[in-house]
Amino acid sequence: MGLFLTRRPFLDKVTGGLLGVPVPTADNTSRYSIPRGILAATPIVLAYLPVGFALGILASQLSFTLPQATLFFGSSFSGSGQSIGLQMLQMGEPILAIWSVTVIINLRYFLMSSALIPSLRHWPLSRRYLFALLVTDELFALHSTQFKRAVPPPSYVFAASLTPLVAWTLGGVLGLLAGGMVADVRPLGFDFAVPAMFMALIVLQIENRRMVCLGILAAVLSVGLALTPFKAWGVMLASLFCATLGTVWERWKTK
Amino acid sequence: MGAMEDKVALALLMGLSNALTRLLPVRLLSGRELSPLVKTWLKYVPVPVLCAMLAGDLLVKDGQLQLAASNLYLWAAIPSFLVAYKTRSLFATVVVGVVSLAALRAF
Repeated sequence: MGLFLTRRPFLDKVTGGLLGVPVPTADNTSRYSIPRGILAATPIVLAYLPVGFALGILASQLSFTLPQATLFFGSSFSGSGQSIGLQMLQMGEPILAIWSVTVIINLRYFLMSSALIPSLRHWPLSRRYLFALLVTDELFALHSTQFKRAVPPPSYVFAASLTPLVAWTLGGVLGLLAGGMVADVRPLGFDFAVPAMFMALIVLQIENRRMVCLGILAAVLSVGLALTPFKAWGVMLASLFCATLGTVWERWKTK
Repeated sequence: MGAMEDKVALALLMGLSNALTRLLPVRLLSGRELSPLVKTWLKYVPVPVLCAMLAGDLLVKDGQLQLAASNLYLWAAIPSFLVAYKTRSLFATVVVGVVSLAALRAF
């Protein structure tokens, strides 16, 4: 158990916690300013700019116009949904087929939104709706880690939520404008920003050994499903199963 | 190569379904006290979701399992995980991960 409850992190000592995921407490609310919110989103921006850029290049090959691309990137804020959508569009698949695949892929947002919203019951309903609209995989990871301790002020939460949307759309539009002029951005290694981020946030979220086991099981199940025709359901089904198993396990142990 | 209306229609449809899947839980979970069972369940959602997504990123490409030593993501994952575990810093982990992968590709 103590394995995961480590001492104060080294980097926090150096930076005063500036670059880590800050832990909200009553006495450090000044750390939850808008600039801090933007800063908390930097790792996500680092990941979204190049991915958005690469998708923008793909969109330019599909002869998207600037308004179309802005609409596409700004409205459906979903990297995996959009990249698969663009690829299927490139293959000439019908619009409704593309759409139904993206719906299945994006069902996981239902799960993420459900997990985050109960922490925000003290917020007005309209604000909760706006918050839910901005949830992405990476923001879910960030918010769920922070909300576990306490919910930061709305200005901070929305600064952290909106910055990646701006970066995502900006990356897409820049990619579209750059079009075929630019070589592949992959050699730079930015495509590893998201996996690295997930690793850090998993480490921050692990509370007990049970979660370690469930995490490993979810990984195995989702990879297994990814190799079957049900691949679009992988993350969703694996998570549903493991969360249920965790609940049963905890109930059974504490009885 | 879809026509112009196709792209606009797709963007609007995707935007709509994206919004609905995220907004529906707000409607469903507001205005009632959650049972302890649901609370426990929701507590166990984030780690499996994140692990499932991470595993897919690291191990699957184009529908194929990538377990060979040529999968640079697996190598880059080692220093990244160590940094994540030791520092528990999001930023440090992302920087180390990106730099490791870039270095691996350079060789």
